[in-house]
Amino acid sequence: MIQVDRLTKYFGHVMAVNNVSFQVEKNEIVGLLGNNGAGKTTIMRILTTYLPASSGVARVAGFDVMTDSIEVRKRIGYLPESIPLYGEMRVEEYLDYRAKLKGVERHRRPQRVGYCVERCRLEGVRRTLLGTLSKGFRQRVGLADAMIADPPLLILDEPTDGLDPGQKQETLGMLRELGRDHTIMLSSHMLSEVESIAQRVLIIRRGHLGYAKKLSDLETDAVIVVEARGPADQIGAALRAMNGVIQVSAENLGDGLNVYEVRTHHMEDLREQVFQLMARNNWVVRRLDLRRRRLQDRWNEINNADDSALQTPSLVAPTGGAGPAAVTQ
Amino acid sequence: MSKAITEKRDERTPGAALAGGPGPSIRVEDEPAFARLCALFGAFCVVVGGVALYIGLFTTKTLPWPFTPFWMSLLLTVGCIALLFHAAYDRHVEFRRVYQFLGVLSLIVGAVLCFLPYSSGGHGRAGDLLGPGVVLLSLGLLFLLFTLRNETEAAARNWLQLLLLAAGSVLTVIGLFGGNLSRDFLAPVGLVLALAGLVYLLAFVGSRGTSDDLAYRAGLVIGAVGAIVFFVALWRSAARFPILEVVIILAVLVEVGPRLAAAQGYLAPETAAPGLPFSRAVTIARLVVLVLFLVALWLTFGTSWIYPPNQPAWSEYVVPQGVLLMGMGLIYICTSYLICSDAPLAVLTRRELAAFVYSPVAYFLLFGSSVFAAWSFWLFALPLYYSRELGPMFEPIVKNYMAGNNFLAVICAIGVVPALTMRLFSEEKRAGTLEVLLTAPVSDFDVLMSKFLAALLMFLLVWLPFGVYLIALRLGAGKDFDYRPLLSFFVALVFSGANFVGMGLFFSCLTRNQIVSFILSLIGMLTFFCIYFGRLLIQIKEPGSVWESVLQHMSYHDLWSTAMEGQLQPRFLVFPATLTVLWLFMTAKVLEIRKWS
Repeated sequence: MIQVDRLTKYFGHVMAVNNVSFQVEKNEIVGLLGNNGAGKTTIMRILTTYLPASSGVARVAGFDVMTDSIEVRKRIGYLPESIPLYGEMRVEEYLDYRAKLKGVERHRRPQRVGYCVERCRLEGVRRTLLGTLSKGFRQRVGLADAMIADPPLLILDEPTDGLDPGQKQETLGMLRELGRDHTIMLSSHMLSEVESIAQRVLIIRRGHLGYAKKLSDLETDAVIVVEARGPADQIGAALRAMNGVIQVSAENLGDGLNVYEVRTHHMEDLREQVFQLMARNNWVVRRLDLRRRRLQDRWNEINNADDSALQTPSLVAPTGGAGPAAVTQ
Repeated sequence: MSKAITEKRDERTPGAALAGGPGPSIRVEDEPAFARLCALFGAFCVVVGGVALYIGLFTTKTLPWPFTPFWMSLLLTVGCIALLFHAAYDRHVEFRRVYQFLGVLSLIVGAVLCFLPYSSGGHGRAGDLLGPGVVLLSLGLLFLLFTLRNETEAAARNWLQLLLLAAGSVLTVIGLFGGNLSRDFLAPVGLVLALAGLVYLLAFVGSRGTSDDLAYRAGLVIGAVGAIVFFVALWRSAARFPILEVVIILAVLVEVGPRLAAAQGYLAPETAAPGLPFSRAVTIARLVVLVLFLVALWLTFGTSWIYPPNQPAWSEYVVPQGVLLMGMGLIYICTSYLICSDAPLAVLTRRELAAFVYSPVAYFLLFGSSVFAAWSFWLFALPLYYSRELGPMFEPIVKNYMAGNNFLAVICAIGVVPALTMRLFSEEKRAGTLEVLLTAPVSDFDVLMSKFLAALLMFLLVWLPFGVYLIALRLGAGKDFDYRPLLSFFVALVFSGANFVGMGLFFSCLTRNQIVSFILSLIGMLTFFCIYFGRLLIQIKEPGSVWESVLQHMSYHDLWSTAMEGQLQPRFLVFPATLTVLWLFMTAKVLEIRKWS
């Protein structure tokens, strides 16, 4: 549905999007995660044909966003972060206008508007002026507008931002339902929300794509956690020397205690071997656990990595590319 | 006894339903106390004003000072406005029925008054009471519309809407048909009736929405009627029997008709399945048209049947009757396209027009224009009024009304254009709605043209008060004056208006700040205005030089003056036309910049 290949975007000398490539399949819900200013909105604006990319190719439903932009726009529904609405129109009127603009045929229009109003629970405010609506209702009107022409791809920029917890749950529930027969790309900086509905996650940091896999892939990653008291380097070396261990990382908890995270080949459960190793060497074990790696871990990894991981010589901006990529237009 | 509360009290207060409930807050109907007070005051004014007017106008008594016709008609107007206000806000069914009855009565009486010949001298003509007639027609429409907005019973809604449809159709038919038959009827009675009928029909279509089949078809019929009127007027304007033109029109219909019908879904398109009856019928039609074309060519150029000798002067018909009827036909066609079409251009233009109507700017501009029109009319009518002492005015008397020595209309334009165009793109950029607009499947050209057309229409509308004063002059004087220069002035107004609006649109798309865009447009308008003084200077210093001619092309005041004298020269329209294209081109490029930045 979406194919992005080496997409790059400069705003002046600031690099907002840095060599991003990913693919999204049909009827997938994909979550775009990143801190504020990471480049999520820029990527979405490029996909909705509002902004051009500086280099790279983006395709939606097979159509290139630069050369076949009208075809792309016929197949997407976009909800920007600021939910811009015309304050003087009423909800019904606005949805009818947007339906006409997006080419919904005359005889289908009342039925389609009625369906979106019902789905987004806007019946009580059908005749209210848009300028008088609260944030939650504006969000719903924006969502109804995005789905009014039944597009195969919905691009939603922070759809649950600023909503109260109840409204958030409802919106996510609605998106989950819609996701059965639509492709949805939504951006957020709330991990828990993305985890609850997305099937694929893209983590963006300073314009660079750190992770682009399905959540189901993430589940298969597991790690053994050991809290032990003893000489840190010896314990670390002994753990690394075990059969089937790929990587060991250590952290000091203070008071002579260290916590070790052991990553194993093929997720072998080596807890018993670890216990025996510790017992042989008389190192006191306070905690021995198998932890499934969560999205939170991956996120922390990406966000706490130093910037040297991001820089490749050809893409460093002339003034030194370690500056933040936070530019909003 | 245990003091524990054993049962949960139902603590739900109405409206406390959380997110997902029916509405955001409890709705409590406002008691329309203020509106009812207004109605009381309004009824009082209407009765006092009405009675005093009747006594003053239709009997021989003259009443003392506060009860003169001028003040009483003012009181009557204020009273009607108060009643309209109440009609809009009160939802009680009794008041609604009263106002609906008043509305229907007003409509019927207004329609009759438009035809009644009446004159205090005794020789009346149809259309003498057009003024009060139109006022009553509009009042009736407003009452009906306001009560329709609050009407909750479906049956009553239906009846009211059908009444609007019937009234509109009758007025339109009489206005256009009568206008076609008699040229004296056409201006002003026929035109005014046709326009009033159009407004009624628009009210009908608007209250139902074009998703409804009847309203949609009514919209299409408006367009068809406009097309018929246009072609009949075109036919009658032709110098000779236009058989060649008719065949060409037939050829166009044969080519375009089936394609349009296929696009609308009435016919299956040719490519869907081979050998459909429609493709065979189109081929036969093409052959027939070809044969007719050859016959028409022979008749036109080979025989003398088409060009009989002693051809009567056709110019008697073309101006004004032909031109006015063709203009009305075009207005009908354009209105029908605007309301029925689902093309992005029509949808966007409609929304832009609605945005103008919903903002206070349009009303302030109309008010300002009315003030300027009143002042301008007073300056113009004073010499007429004292023509016995000052000497007669020579035709075309409208020469000094809008232009010529009268600068008021010209200065009015300077203020109107920046106010109209400042928000076109600036507001959308600032609110962020431009992003949602440009990510919908509409081309940049549609967005740009819709804003341009809506602003141009509003610009033309702002000059309406000037036109109304002229109608008042015609009715008050009871005699005709030569209004044909107004037609050429309209053309000049459209061209220079397009230039100004294009300029305003360009400045608006450069910036997000409306004030900056206003100032830039104002500077542009002042430049155009000062070109006139430049021309005057050069005319004094070097008459007949090239510069004088150049500046004359550029000055819109000169264009308007020559048009008002009835001497519009099309070559002076070239400059505003080319500038319009320039502004639109530059705006299109600025919009495109975001694609290449």
